Amino acid sequence: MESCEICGQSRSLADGTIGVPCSGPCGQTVHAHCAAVSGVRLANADCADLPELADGVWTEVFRNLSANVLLRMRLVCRRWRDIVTGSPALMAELTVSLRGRKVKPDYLLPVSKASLRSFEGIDGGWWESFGGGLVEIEIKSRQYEDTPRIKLAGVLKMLKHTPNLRRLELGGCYLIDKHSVSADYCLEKVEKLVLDNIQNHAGRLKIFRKICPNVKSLVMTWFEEDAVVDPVEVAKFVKGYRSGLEELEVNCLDQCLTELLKLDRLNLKKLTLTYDTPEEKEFKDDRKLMKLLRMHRSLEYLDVQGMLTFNNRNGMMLNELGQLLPNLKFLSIYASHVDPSFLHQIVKLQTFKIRGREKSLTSIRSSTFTGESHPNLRELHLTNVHLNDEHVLATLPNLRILSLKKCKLDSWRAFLTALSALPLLQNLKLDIYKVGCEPTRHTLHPKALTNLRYLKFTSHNTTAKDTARHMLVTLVTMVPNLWELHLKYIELGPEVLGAIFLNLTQLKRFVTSGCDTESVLSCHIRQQCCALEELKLK
Amino acid sequence: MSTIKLETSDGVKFTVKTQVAKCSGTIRTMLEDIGINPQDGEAIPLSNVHSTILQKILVWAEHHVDDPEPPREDADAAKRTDDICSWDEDFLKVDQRTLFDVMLAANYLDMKQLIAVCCKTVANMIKGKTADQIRRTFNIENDFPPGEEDKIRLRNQFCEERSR
Repeated sequence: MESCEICGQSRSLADGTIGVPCSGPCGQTVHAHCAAVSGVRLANADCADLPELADGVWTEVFRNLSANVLLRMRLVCRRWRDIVTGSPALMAELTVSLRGRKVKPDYLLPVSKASLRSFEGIDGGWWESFGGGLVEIEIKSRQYEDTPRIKLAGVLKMLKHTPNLRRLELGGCYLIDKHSVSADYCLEKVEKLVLDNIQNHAGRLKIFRKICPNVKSLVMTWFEEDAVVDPVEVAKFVKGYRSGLEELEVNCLDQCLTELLKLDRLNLKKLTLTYDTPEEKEFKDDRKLMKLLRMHRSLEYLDVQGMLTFNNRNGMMLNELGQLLPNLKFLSIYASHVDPSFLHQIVKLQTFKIRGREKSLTSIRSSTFTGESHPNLRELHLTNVHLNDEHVLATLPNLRILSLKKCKLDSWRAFLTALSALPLLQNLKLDIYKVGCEPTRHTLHPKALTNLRYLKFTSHNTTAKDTARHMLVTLVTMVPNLWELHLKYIELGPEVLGAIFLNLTQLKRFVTSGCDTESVLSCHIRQQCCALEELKLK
Repeated sequence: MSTIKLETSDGVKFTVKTQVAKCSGTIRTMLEDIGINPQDGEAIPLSNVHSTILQKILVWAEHHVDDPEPPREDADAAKRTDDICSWDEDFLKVDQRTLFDVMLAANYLDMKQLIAVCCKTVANMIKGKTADQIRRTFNIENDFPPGEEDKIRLRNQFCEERSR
C-alpha cells in the first residue's frame, strides 16, 4: 500500500484522505490534509484557486493568535496587513512599548495600549494625537533599577492627552516633585487603576482619585520590606471610592483587614489579598477575615494569599465561607488542610486553587464522603498538597484543567483510575515529588483521556528515576490525542521516546527542559512524530 | 419529527430535521422571522452552498445539534486553540479547499460554533510558521512593493512583546 510522504501513514480512498502529488522535486504523494498543515505546495493546485474568505472570517482566524504572531500576519501580504490594522479588535491585542528616548512617532502603529519604561516624560505634538487613541497605559520602572524616580508632574502632563483611557497602571516608581502638583482634567473612563509599589504615597495619592473618579477595580500593593505604605492611607484612598468600587486588591495584612472592616459602604465582587513572599505568613486573627467576608456577601472572586491555619477551633471555617459566599466562582486559598466537603455549599464555583506549605503539605481529605458531584468546577490547581483522597476527583465530572504542583500522592494507581474518570480533561500538569505506593508496569489499563491536548510532566530528584519513567509512560498511553507535551527533568531514554512515538501521533509541540538531551537527535524525533510543528530540547 | 427541505446551488434537494437545520442562524431567521412555511413542501434555496459541502455541514450539525449554548467568553480568557474536541478535529481533517468551502458556507449559513472551530483549525495552521511559509500554505502572493516589508518590520518592532 502507498503511504503519505509526510505522516508516513497509509493512504486509501476509503477513509476519505485522498492523496495528491507534491509539486516539489520528490513528486511523491501525500495526504491532502498533511500537505495543508505542513505547507507543502501541491502540484494539482489544491490551493491554487482557494475560495476567497471574507475579511471578517480572516479576522476571526486572527483573533486566535498572540500579539507577536499577529504582527507577523502583517508581513504576509497587503490584504492581511490591512485586515490586522483595520480591525479594532485585533489592534487591541497590540501594545506599543516605549523605552528610553528612542521614540520615532512616525513608526508607531495606531494601537490602544502603551507601555512605558524609565521615561523622562513625553513631549511633543505627536503625543497629543497618539494619546487620544490610548485605552490602556502602563508606566513602570525599568527592571533592576534601584530607585526609579518618575516626576509626577510629567506623568500628569502626559495623561492630560489620554481622555479615552480605561486602565492606568503605575508600577515600581518613586513619585517625586518638589512643588505641589495639580491637574485640571479628569479621566472619566478609567475603570481600572493599579498603583503597585509606589513609594512616597502620602499626599500624592489624592491626585489620582481626583483624575480617576470612576474606578471600579483598584490594585494597591507594595513590597512590605520597604514598608513605605501605611494601610491607613490605603483605606482612606479606598474609602473615597465608596460603593462604586467592585474589585480590590491589597496586601494581605492584619492591619489592612482592620482598616477595611471600617469601610462599611463598600460592596465588592472581587477581593484579592496578596502577599509577596509566600512562606509562613499567617493571619493573627482569621475571624477578622470572616468578618470582612460577611460584609461582602456578593463576592464572586476571592484570592487569599495569607495562610489560613485550620485547627479544631476554626476547622469549620471553609464550611462557613461556603455559606457566606454563595456566588463565588473563583476561590484561591493557602491553607494547612482542606476538607473539600464544603464545596457543595458553593454550587457556582468554577475554579478552585489550594496552596500549602512546602514543609508541611496541605492534606485533602473529606470528613464526610458524600459522593455529591460538582458539575460547575472546571479548574483545580493544587500546590504543595498531599492528595490522600483521590475520590475528590471523582466528584468533578466536568473538570477541564487539573494542575498538581509539588504534590504528593498516596497511590499512583488510584490516582490514574480517578484521572480516567475525567473524560473532558484538556489540560494536565503533573509535578509530583512523592508517591506513597510505587507504580508498577503493565498492571494498569485506565481509560483514555481523548480530550487531553496539553500535558506537562515534571520529575523530581526525590522520586526514583524509574518511578517517574513508569508514570510518564503509562500517562502517554492514556492520551492518544495530545498536541503539546512538556517534559522537565526526565531522562529521554528509549522507553520514554518509544512510548511517545507509538502513542502520540498527533503531537504538534514537544518541549523539554532540564532533560538530558545530548544523546537525543532532534531529527530522529521529527522523523517519528510526523505532525510535529515545534521542537525545543533544552 | 418535523423536517424541511433545502436546495443547494447545484439543485440537489436535502430533507433535513428542522432542529438540525436550525443550527444555521440564516435558516432559523428564514423560518421564524420571515415566516417561510416549511409545511408547504417548498425547498429553501441555499444559492451559495454546493451539495457536497452542505452534506458535510449537515453531518456536523447532526452531531452537535444537542450541544448546550457555549458560555460567554471572558474577555480576559486566554486564547486557546487546543480545545477543539477530537470529533471536530477528525471532521476537519480535509484538504484545504474543502476546509475553506466549509468556512464560506458556515459563514453564509451563520453557524457560529462551526466557524469558531474552523478558525481555530486555520489558526493552528498559521502558528509557528514564517510569513513565507504562510504564503506557501495559503498560496498567497507577496504583493508588497520593494522596501515596504522593511517598513512594516520597523513598525512591528515597537509592538513586539519581549519575552519576560
